Amino acid sequence: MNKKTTKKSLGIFALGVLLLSVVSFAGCITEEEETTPVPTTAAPTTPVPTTAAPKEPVLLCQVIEMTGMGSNCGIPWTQAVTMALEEINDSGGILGRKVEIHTYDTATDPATSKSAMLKAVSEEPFAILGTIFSSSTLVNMDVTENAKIPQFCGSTNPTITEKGYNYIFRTSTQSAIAMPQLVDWAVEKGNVKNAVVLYQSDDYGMGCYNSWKDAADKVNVDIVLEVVVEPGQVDYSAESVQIEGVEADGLFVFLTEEMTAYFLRDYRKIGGSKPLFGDTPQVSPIITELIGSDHDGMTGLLVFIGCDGADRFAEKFKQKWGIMPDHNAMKGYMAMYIIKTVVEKLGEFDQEKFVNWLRGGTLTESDDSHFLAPQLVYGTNGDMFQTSFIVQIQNGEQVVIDILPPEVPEELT
Amino acid sequence: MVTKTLGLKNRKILFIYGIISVILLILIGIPYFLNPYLLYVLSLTLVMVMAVIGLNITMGYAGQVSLCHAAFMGIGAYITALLITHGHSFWLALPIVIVVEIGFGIIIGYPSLKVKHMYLALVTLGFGRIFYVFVQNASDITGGPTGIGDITRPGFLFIPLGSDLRFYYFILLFTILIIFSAMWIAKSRWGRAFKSLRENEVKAAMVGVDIRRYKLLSFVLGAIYAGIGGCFYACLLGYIGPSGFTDVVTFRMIMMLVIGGLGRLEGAILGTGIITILPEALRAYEQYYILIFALITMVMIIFVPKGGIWIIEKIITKIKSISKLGDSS
Amino acid sequence: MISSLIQVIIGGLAHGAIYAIAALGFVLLYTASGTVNFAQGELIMLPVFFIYLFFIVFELPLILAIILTLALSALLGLLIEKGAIQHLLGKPFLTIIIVTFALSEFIKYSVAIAATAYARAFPSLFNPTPFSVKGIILSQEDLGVIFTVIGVVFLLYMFMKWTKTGKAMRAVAQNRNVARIVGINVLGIIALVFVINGILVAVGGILIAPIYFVRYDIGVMIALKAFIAAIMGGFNKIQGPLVGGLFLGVTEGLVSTYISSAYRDIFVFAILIIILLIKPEGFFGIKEEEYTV
Repeated sequence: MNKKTTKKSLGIFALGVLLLSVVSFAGCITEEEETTPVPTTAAPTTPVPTTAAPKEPVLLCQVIEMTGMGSNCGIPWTQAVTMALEEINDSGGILGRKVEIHTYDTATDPATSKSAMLKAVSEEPFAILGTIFSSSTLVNMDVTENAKIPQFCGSTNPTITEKGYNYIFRTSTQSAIAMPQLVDWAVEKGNVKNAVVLYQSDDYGMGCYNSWKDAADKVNVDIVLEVVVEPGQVDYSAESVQIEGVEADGLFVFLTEEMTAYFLRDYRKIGGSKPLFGDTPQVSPIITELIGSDHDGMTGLLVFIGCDGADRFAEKFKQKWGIMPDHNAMKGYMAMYIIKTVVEKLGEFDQEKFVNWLRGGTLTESDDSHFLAPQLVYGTNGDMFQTSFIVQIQNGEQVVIDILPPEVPEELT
Repeated sequence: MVTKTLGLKNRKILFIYGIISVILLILIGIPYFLNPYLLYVLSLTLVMVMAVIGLNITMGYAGQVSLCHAAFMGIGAYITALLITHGHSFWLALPIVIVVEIGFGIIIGYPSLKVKHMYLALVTLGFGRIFYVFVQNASDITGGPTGIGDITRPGFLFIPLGSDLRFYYFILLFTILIIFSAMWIAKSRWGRAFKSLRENEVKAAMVGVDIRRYKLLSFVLGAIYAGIGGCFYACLLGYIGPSGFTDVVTFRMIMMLVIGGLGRLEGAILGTGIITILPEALRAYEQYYILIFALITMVMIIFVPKGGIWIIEKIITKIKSISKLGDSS
Repeated sequence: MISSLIQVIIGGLAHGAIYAIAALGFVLLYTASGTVNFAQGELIMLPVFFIYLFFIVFELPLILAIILTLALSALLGLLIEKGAIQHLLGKPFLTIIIVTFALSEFIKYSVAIAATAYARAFPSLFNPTPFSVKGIILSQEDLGVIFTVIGVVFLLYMFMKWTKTGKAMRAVAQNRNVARIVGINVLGIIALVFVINGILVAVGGILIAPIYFVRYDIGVMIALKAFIAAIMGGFNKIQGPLVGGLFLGVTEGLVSTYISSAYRDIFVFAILIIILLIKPEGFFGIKEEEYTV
């Protein structure tokens, strides 16, 4: 008898629950549809009042990879941001308002980055710093676009600025811009006609590879060998042997700093000597600190160099944190100072005006001595265009061997 | 005396139903008041509940080690994403995912017939890793590390479900269905077979339980639930990538199960809630939150190895015995 | 070419030796106490930082730095046993996995916060310049790692075979209850095994510091490999993890060179799974039905 009553009550109960759900569902029908953001010109937002309470701090939120496999990108970013924060607040803040930063971890997981971003946005900050990994940014950029909050990401995936969003900005040149510069230079000045490419199978490596391949195909560089490795790989003896087994004018390396170090060490061990080319991480002084002279000969692209601000930044960072800054640190630092500079140029904290100014805007080191580059230009899609310096490691030092001015395509000015 | 016992039992059932009704009312009513962030966290929790209930069947009921559960979820998510971005419907994806998961459940369940415990752990871990490496590298099919984007949410009988609120109710509905189905399985012949399997394989075989069949079944069911969770995950996020389905994610799901109470349906739900909500609650501590989180997890498991459900039941028993003492005097 | 084949094999052996020593500690812990130590990777990472601290930062003489590192790591093992593991003995396998996993996260991110995310270099203890033997490029480093690990494993083997304590350890590994009945101090042995694991991972850490650099995420890179090596080797003989680790290292190298770099893990795991399906107890494991008592 018990079983029957239990089953009966279970049944009624289930029916009741379903009924309730359907009813609330029906209630939803009258609710307004919220769709994914359709790119339009930014609707007017109420500017955060500056005259009413001049001493009220301004909030910025950092949504960044502090744990998980992206933590060695995110942690340097936050270190540089902390440095910038102290500098800015010591000199009176932005328009007289002190800056406050709340940091949220994404665990290098897109789903978590979305919830972190939602939480950050719910605090109504003036701007968002982060994320670095493209797979996360692509998920969370909807949130800032909907909330009409400017977002400065550290991602290099081309799709981010192809979606037509208004509130997203990069903090460095993306792969689709940097790679053609690198390849064109290698072909013209380095006489590279055929190449080997070595890259890691993640966001960064594949992003570089895809853009690089398009650029190489355009100028008819023959791709002799493609070697793909796992992120976090330590042993490159197999790959080095493979690479030395073929003839090529150039070896393009798209690995993180540590992985480049591991690779170069194994590569030099077996006497590898092909001309080396890379992007920004590959010429980082971090690598030189790790493997010394094995790093010599690597040629890459740098943008945060060639002005006093960059030198001072590097020195101060080393003093404060005991180690040379990497390009993620530089991106974070730049984001802070770009925000400060544009707000000061506008004279007010207005997010819509901020976005409209920066899109198609130009900033130079005369605007703020903390800038890490002499000049940067923002395209109307949020892409960053800068002077690129072709740099080669010689005797453990970064030596500038060529300078490429920024080329902003017509449609983005 | 007999009627008194019956009375107590009915009261217990009513009590449990009471609690469940309250929880349900909260789940149904509260979203109207939540900001997008909290609504998203709640939606994500429910999606994970679906997957963890599956894990509970494989590991909790049947006692089989499965360290590739995130991969099962990933299979569901990727199939859904691919179908939707190629113009097909979510409702087509759902049955396809179920069928595919049955297949993978059998393939991955097969080694469980030969290897046990740690060795099975390695095999399942291997499958998880194989899935991840494949998805990460086969960019032409899976979009590589940047994954697949612009996954639109489905409609249901002409009602579009795009808005966060509506999609939440959609998830809630399915979660309830899944919970009911899991309850039904637990009470059925399958459930009893799983339990005997977990307790002692040799004894179970002697009593006539077809060990091979039930081991495979436990993997298949686990995979199906995870796959369904994956379908909803893809539509909730709108964008999926390989980093959402690593072995760390599997570990997190195991943590959810163990903290809630391994082998108990309520435990799976409770644990998922705790592990999804706790990091959000700790966000204020910025980078230190992971330390606090790890510490809390360790302490909880060391002192309460049977999981949160056990504590709650102890508390309920305590309250009841106190109130009973009150009654009799 | 034969010379590149030999080169790849030796490189694989060197990396495999590291997995082997981590796997060995893992197996000892499991057989003696039932603990599946998911924090093994972090326990290797810590001595890397210890030796860096003692030798580079405090500039102590090398021998002293090594001794201190071994001692500190051993002490840490003991602390973990007393603090966490002792409460969990006899509890289900999953519970211990979660605790050790949470412990590994705690250790890893504590170090990340304290020491920042950057890699630091550590000088090699052996001469790293490569030399050539009949066209095969070798380095003292690789050979040094291989022979040190083999030496340590050999010492441990001798210890377990000939000393009274070692025999007690073997007894506990075979059957804890019987060992207790016979009068062996089982809890003491378990504590000892944690200390020995501390020493083993410290040796491993000192060896990998120059190769992997000093970074907080070394544990992540090694833990899984150690786990795999332990399982492949089987849990019953001390040679198990050694062979398991070396086999894994060599397989990885061969697959990378001759099959594919990107999909390496897929092939390696496929090979391992097939092996396990053929011999489910690993190389040296014993079938469960064959256990006496």
